[in-house]
Amino acid sequence: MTITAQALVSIIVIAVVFNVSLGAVAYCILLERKICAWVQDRIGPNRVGPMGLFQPLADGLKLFLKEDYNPGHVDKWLFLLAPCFVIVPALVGWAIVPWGGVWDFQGFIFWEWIPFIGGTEVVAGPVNVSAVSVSIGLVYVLAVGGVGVYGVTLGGWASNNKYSFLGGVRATAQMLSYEIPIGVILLVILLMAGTLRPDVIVQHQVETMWNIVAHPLAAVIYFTAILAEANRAPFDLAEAEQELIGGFHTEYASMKWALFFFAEYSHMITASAIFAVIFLGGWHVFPFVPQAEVSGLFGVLLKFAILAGKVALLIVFMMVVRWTLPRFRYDQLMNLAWKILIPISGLLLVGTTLMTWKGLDQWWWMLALNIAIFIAVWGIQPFVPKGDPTNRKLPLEGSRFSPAE
Amino acid sequence: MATTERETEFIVPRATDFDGQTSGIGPHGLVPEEQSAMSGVELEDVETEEMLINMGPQHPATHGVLRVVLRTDGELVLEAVPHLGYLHRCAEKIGENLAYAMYVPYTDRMDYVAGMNENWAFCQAVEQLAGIQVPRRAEFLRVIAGELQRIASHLVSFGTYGLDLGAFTPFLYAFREREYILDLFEMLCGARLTYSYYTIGGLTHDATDDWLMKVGEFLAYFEPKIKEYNALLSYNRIFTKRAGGVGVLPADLAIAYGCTGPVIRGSGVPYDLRRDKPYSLYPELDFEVCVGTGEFGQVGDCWDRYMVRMKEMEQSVRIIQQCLKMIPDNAEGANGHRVKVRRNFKVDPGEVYLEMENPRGVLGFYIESQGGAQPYRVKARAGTFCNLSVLPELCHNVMLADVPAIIGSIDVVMGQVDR
Repeated sequence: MTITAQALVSIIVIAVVFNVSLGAVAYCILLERKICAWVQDRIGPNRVGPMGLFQPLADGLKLFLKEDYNPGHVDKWLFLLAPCFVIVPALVGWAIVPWGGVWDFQGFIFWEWIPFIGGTEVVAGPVNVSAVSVSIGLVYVLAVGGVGVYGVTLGGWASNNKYSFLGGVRATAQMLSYEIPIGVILLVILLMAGTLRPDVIVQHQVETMWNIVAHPLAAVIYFTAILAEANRAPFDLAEAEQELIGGFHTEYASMKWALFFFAEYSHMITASAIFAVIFLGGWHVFPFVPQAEVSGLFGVLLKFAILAGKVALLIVFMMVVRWTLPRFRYDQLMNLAWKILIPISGLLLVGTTLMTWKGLDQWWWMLALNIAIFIAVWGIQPFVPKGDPTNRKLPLEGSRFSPAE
Repeated sequence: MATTERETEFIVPRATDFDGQTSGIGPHGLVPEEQSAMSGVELEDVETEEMLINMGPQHPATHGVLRVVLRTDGELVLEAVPHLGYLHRCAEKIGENLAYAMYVPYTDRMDYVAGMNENWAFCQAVEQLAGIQVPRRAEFLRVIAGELQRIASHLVSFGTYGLDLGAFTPFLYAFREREYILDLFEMLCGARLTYSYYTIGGLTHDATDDWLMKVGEFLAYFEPKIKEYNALLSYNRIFTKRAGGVGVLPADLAIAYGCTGPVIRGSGVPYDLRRDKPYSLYPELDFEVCVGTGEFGQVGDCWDRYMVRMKEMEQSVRIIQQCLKMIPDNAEGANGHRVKVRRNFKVDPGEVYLEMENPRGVLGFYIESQGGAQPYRVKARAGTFCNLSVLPELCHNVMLADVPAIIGSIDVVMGQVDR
């Protein structure tokens, strides 16, 4: 009996990454609380274990011990289903992240005494160190992201609560709108690398230049959009406490609520990992320095560590943003997506297409394109007709209290 | 005929809405043409349904137990009706059964974020009624404590306003600075929230020189912080977009509703009792009356009301610095901070109405005496009550997210509204 090396590596990666990710999510919550505390000139959780390191365990235990309460007025099945719909896409998004690049795998045979798999031969060959190695990697990202909307919408709808309902509606509109710039930017990346495979995209960046240098504008748009996709501040309208109490998860308690919470953080990690892969050169350390190729298992682990470090930095940045900025308003959020991000990303796509077609696909040409678009958009600003400066659509006309024009 | 029904629905607010109470819609009803222009679609095309949302009394953003019933069309709020009374404690009625000095602690509990100023207004009203002259040193200490309290109160307002707009961090910065002020108050009178520091005829305790020095240190520390907060929040682009041009309160509307304090000054009306109807030492002190400028929208929007408070903190710092220079030494001995008043003193028949500029607007005390040791009637005119009454006018055709922004910019303390 033989299996391919890819299958073996995939199984190992799934087992490792899935468990590591769940732990990472728990510690993300601790990190968030710590960063929040540091930003706010506080100390943060430091009671449970050394430096508060066991705080996630205590939090988890507390959530498990809480009563799993279902309010009487909810749609029972959908109410149960919604957290599952949220957590699953957030976790399976991990599948295509190329953690360790391509590994020239040495074949071997399992020892005979191992039950079930003893004597199985593992065929040597190059393997992608990722959970699955599919040729449609980036499309998979979009597809999984699209499914994530259902959970939030269902949660808001099934709760049978007006605040939850509004939160669900907001989340739906927001996630749908921000998927468009994400898709367009992924197309730009596709044009640059000529492939949808994440590992080849990384390899392309290693050989030429990181995409964040070639396409800084695209990187900014993409980062903004993933913040909105992950429902993170300043785009956390769906659960805006000051307006909607808890938004779509107002009625949830105990572990069902915790699943929503977990989903947010695993969404963050997934999105950061994909951002690191397509913009920050994956496992490449410095953008202008050629990297020595380390082969074997040590090389794989090194690459994993570099990519994980980038992900951690991105997550910290997201958290600092969350504790710094006020929240957008719903119409401002929509304006940002439809009037700013989508047109600019469309311009980028068209420009990149034309330049690639003309053979000007070196990174400095792309950088020039980005700068040109940025200057053009900036220069156009004064000539764009200004909208109503306020959302107050009625200027109190005919009232003796009408403000002086 | 379906549309006609809808039109009437929009023009005439249903009287049976909101638990049988009349709807509080303002002088301008919503007419269908404007409604369709607003959403950009014809009413015939899209049938939307209104939804009543009950916001509060237990809601994270209603600053206490304010309950607002919102009539919404999707994200658009057509009407907001505030419902009061959840914190009513009969404070005025209690005043009829207590001696004058015994009522002072009850004034603390009205606006519990600005207890000093509440004490001050009541004590000064009683002193005016009974003809008591307060020592000059006590007047200085009253101004210092009152202005420190104004800073503390505006800090709470600044912090919670950031919170209302989704920025959590300024809240903790504001409370960090407020902590210094509360420590100062604790040194002064032992209490941190409900001080009862002012009493009829002066103050309960005198301040030490050490304390006055600490106040100076605090001001030196605090003054640059205001600039930092302006950079952090006030001029943040998202913040100016959220607060600028939202909840515009025209000047004449503000006057018509009897708004006072930062709310009316935010609308561009330079009305400040410390300058216009001066009391205590304010005629001797140099300060500016800050008004809204409409920098990020129209004059009288939420940003203006917010910014007036930020500017007033600077002015309060100025006032206290002047007081620290001018305050006389405690030469008259141990009782230089108060004149001796009998505990159960009787007041000749008469009445008095005294208004004072509190952090949240004008607080007036009407006290009527019929000659006993207890007042015949105590009536408090709460600035926040009048300010809150303008809420239905402002929350008219705004987004749902603007409702907390507007409530926060009015800066209500329900303890004072309900009394």
